[in-house]
Order: sequence, then C-alpha cells, then structure tokens
Amino acid sequence: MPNPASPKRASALLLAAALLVAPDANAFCGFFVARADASLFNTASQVVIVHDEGKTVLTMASDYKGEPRSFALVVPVPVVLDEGMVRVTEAKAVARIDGFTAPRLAEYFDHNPCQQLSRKMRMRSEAPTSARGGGPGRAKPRSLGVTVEAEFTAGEYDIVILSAKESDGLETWLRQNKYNIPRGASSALAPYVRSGMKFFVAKVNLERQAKTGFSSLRPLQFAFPDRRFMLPIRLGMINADGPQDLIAYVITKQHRVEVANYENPKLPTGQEIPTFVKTDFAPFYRAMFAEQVKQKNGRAVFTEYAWNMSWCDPCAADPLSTEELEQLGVWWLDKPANDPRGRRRRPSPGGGAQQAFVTRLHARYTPQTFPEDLMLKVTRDASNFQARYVIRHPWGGGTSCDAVPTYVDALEKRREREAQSLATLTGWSMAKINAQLTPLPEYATKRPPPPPADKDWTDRIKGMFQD
Amino acid sequence: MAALSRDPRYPQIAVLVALLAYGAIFLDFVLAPLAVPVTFASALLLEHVLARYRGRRSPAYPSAMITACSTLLLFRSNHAWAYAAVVAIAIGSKVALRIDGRHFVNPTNGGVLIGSLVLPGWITSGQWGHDVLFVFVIAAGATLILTRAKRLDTALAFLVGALFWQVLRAAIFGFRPEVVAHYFESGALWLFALYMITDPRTTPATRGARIVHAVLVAGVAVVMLQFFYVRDSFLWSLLILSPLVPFLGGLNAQPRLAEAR
Repeated sequence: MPNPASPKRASALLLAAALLVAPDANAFCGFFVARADASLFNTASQVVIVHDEGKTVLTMASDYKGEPRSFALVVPVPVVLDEGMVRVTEAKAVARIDGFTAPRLAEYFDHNPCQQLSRKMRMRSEAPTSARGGGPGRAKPRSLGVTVEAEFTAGEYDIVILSAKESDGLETWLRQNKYNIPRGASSALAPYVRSGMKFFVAKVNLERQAKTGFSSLRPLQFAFPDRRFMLPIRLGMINADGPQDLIAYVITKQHRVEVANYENPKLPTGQEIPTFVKTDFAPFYRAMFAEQVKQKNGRAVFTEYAWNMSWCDPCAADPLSTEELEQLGVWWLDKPANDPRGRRRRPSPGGGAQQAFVTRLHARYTPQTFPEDLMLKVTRDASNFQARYVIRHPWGGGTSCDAVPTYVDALEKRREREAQSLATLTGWSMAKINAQLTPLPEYATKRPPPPPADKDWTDRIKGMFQD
Repeated sequence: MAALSRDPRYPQIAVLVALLAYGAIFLDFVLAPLAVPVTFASALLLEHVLARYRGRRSPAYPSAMITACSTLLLFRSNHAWAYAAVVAIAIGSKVALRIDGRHFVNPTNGGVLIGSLVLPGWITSGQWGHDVLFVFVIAAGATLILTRAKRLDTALAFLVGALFWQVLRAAIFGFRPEVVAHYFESGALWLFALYMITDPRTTPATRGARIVHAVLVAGVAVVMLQFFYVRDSFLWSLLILSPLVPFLGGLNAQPRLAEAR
C-alpha cells in the first residue's frame, strides 16, 4: 500500500519515467556522486536534525536507487569529526518519524439522524518504509590543498573528513579519486571551502556492507557543534535535474523551528474533503503539495507538522519510544525508570510533556528558487500544528424519520463544500472531482405531511380577526 | 490639521497597519489573539504615563503607534503579555537610555531584540513572499519620499551599503549573485531600511554622519551574518552601533559631548 506521506510515494511508473529523464539526478544536503555511467535516481531526501544549544546531530537517509558502488555523499560540516561522532542508524527510526509526522486523514461517520449514536473516529496513516542503495569508491590525498583530516569507517561506510584550501583543488581531488563530479561542483563547493568548512565524504565499503546483511544502505548519522544551524541544500542541486524534495524533521527540546530566509507557511489544514480521497490519499497529498508550491511560486518551505513528541491527537502512528528517539540522535532524554522497554506512554495534552518537539519541514527546490542554504531558527513557539484532512462518511440510510430530509439537504450542501475545498487545495477541476464522488445511499427523503395546525386556535384567531 | 497631514508618522502608521492586517488575514502571522489590542493599548498607555511623568504636555502617541505596529510585525510570541513587555522595553528605553538629553537607541529595535533574549518570543524574519514585499516597498518608499524626504539619504545609504557589503562578501566567499539578491527579499530588512534606520531621533544629525552610520550598520550586519551566523543581523548591528550615534552626530551638532570626550 503506498504510503501517503513518504517521499518514496512515487508509483513504479513515475519512477521509471524519472529514471529515463534524470539518469544523473540527485538531491541531498550534500550530494551524491555518480561514478562512470551508473544511473541513479533520487528525488527526495529525508534529514533528521536534532539541535540544541549550538549542537547538532544530523541523520541523512535517502531513497538512493543507483548502482551501489557509485554511492557517495559529500556534506559540508563546521569541524573535523572524529570516529566516535559518526555512526549508522536504523532506517526504521527515520521511517517511524516520517509516519508519526505525516499529513493525515481523519475519518468520521455520520450517525443515523434518527438516532443518537456516538461518533466513531479513526485515524488512517501508515508508517513508511525506507529504501536506499549504494556503492563504494577509493580515494587518497594529493597535494591539491586538500587534507584528509580523518579517515575511518562507520557501519558499511568508509568515511573521510577533508579540508581544502581551494574548491578547484577539492574538485580535482575528488575526480582523481574516481568520483564523477558534476560540472559546476567547484563553484558550489567554493563558499564552504572559503568559509573554512570541512567536508564529510562517505562511500560504501562493499565488503562491510555484505557483512551487515542489509540489502540497502542505512542512514548515516553524525554529531558536531553547530552555531550555524543550517541545512546545506545547495550542493544537492549541482547535478539535479528538475525540482527536488526535501523533508526535514527537526527535533528540539521544546519549540518549533522555522526557516529564517524563506517564506515558511503552514500547509493548509482541517479541511473537509470528499470521502473518495480515503483510497486516493497519496495522489491527493501530491497534488495538494504541488498546488501549494505553485501558489508560492516555488519559493516556500512548508511546515507539515509541529508537535511535542510526547503526545498526538489524532496520532498518525504511535509516538516514538525513547530508544527510537535516541536512534535519531536525541541525546537529552531520560529513560523512563518504570518502563523496561522504554516505550513512551501517551500522556494527555498539557501533562507529562517530554522534552522533544518535532517540526516537519517540506521543501521542493530548484537552483533558481532556492539560491541559498536553509537557515533555521528555533522559535519560542510550543503550540502544535498538523496537516490534517477530514472525511465524513454519510449515514448509510435504511430507516426513515422526519429528520432524514433535513439531513440530506445538509449533506448535499456539505458534499458541495467538500468538493470545492478539494478543488482549492489540489487545483483539480470540479468536473474531475464530481466524477469521482461516491454515490449517496438511497435515503427515504419523502417529507411527511406537515403536522396539522392547532385547529381550535386558528378558528379562534380567524373568528377574532373577523370581528 | 496641516501639522497632522505633514507629520510623516501618520502615513507610516497607515502602511504598517495595512501590512499587519494583510499578514494576519492572508499570511501565517502567528499572533496570539490578544496580542494586537494588548500591544496597542500598552504602547499608548505607557506613552501617556511617561509623558505625564516627564511633564510633557503632548505625549507622542503616533510614535507609540509605530512602535506597536513594528513590534507586531517583527516580534512573535504565544503570549500577549510578552508584546506588552517588548513595548515597555521599547518606550522605556526612550527615557532610560539618554545621552545629553537625547535617546539614542531606536525604541522598537531595542525592544524586540532585548525581548527576544529575555521573553518567551522570537524575531520573525519577515518572509512575506514577493508580492507583498513588492507592495510594501513601494508604499513605504513612497511615504518616505513624500513625508520624510530628508531622511531618504539614510535609507539609501543603508541599502547601497548593504548591497556593497553583500557583493563584497559574495566575491570573497564565492557566493552566487542570487545570494546577494536573496538578501534583499526579507521584509524585515525593508521595514528596517525604510522605517527604522530613518528615525530622525536615533540617527546622527548631519547628512555625512548619517551616511557613514548607515553604511557602517550595513557592514557590521554582514560581518555578523558571515562570521557569527546571526539571523537578522542588521537589527543587532543598529543596536550595537547605537552608542556611536551621539558621538557621530556630536561632531557637528553636539559640541558639548565632543568636548566631554
């Protein structure tokens, strides 16, 4: 079943088309490097950023689908990382936070207008799966102003931390070490080189990967002091062909994070939309997101979710356990003493708030619309937000009473409003929407005759008025 | 009436109120429900009380209104009282921080910055989108030209200075030209350039000194941005350089201060 919120939501057909169009395309906070003529595809990357008081743990997961040995990742970092600050983590943890923060559909059922029934409500959303792939390369330092500051392995990855005096030298070094660096890499690398940043370069060690038993690559996670609090997206655009999606889950102790240098609206939320969206949530979400991007001329980063991690209402998935949060790099949590599994309970709103607040940011960027890296800012806003859409199933019919015609009138108006909302959200035409509307059940809508008026009273009035 | 129509603060208030209304309705301005009335009420009340206290006959209500509008545009909090506190810091600074009988810290600037440090609030960078920004720049620029034309030099000096320093930064650090253009897409920057740094009371008295001051503010802002990663660094730059204002202005207009040095 396709996951409505996962960046991997593209259908097989879409994926095949993209492979043909963009054999070299990639996107990441760093960038993937294709070697030789290996084809790879990546239109979406997921990043978990855990940030507090000038310190960051970054987890990068991608749906890298290229030739494994061609995988490489280059991320600018402010300092030289030592081995202990880098690890691989579980893709499942990233999938969990995706599922937990995904835009969601809330489902309600109309009760029988002839009876008082309690409302049923349930939530629908699935946790995504994460898919990656990768491959290695070899590299040794040369006298190009490039220094290998550190060299170690983490899980299935070989990692080098480089510093460079000149971006040209760095580009040459990477080329000499058999990375097929895209044209323009040097100018994209220059601002980081000249600002004194180091480069975290990872590639896959095939032998070690075979030993892990994983067919796909696990997310890489690294920690560093970070006064900048930014996400370097520009490198990911070097050989990008077409818009790229980035979903960033930013975890802080207690406040929402916003983007300081781009418009950062919240996704529209709370609209009631037609019931057929239930089986078509993925196309709905894609179309809706594309429409919102279009309305902002492609220049906005959208907040899809902002919530204290200790509770949710409704929950798209179970809240993350302490272990899962630690897998994502959250370092400040206390393990609950009374729960051996470390599983978080679900406290009520306002009580027992855990010190973890997640903001889910979603950007679709091109080199033209996002000329600068994302600068982030921790606000003092602890209020909660979720992108949530509501479907209301009509009552199934069957009985007849006075209330039915009134209900049907209201229902028809509501269905019109729902269709209109859907058109506004997605840009779909009303004709397309109307064609998909679920037919209503047969209702006994024949209005009973109006109750007889109070004959004594009308006679009396008539008599009185005639006098 | 003539005085009213000539007072540059009234059209400024009109533009700010319009922007605020548009932002609250159509953009995602996070405003606590009570923030707007509380901010305006506390600004006007405080201005009234302080004017009484200082024995001034006419409180500067328009200035208080501008402080309230700018606070609502630049400062964000989930608590209405935090807005009142920012306004209190802003208007209070006019009385508390004086050199030679003159306040030298731009009230709103000081208020929102100090507020962002000590209150449960933060500064919003004014990413309003192209269309709104364009309309605001035209409207604010027009009111500036029509009513406070003498202070146009400050706005232009700051903007040209910012452009110069940004181009220099791009050349040194290898940023693409689009990064320079992107710097000017911040609503907060234009609000600052057209309505904040042009405040005659907190900028030097002579044109030469004003230009030097504005270019310096722009330069320090770029240094803070590049090396210290400060968001909205132009606001901090103005605050940090504010003690320089009496000295800069004093070279011509305030000989007593210069002598005192």
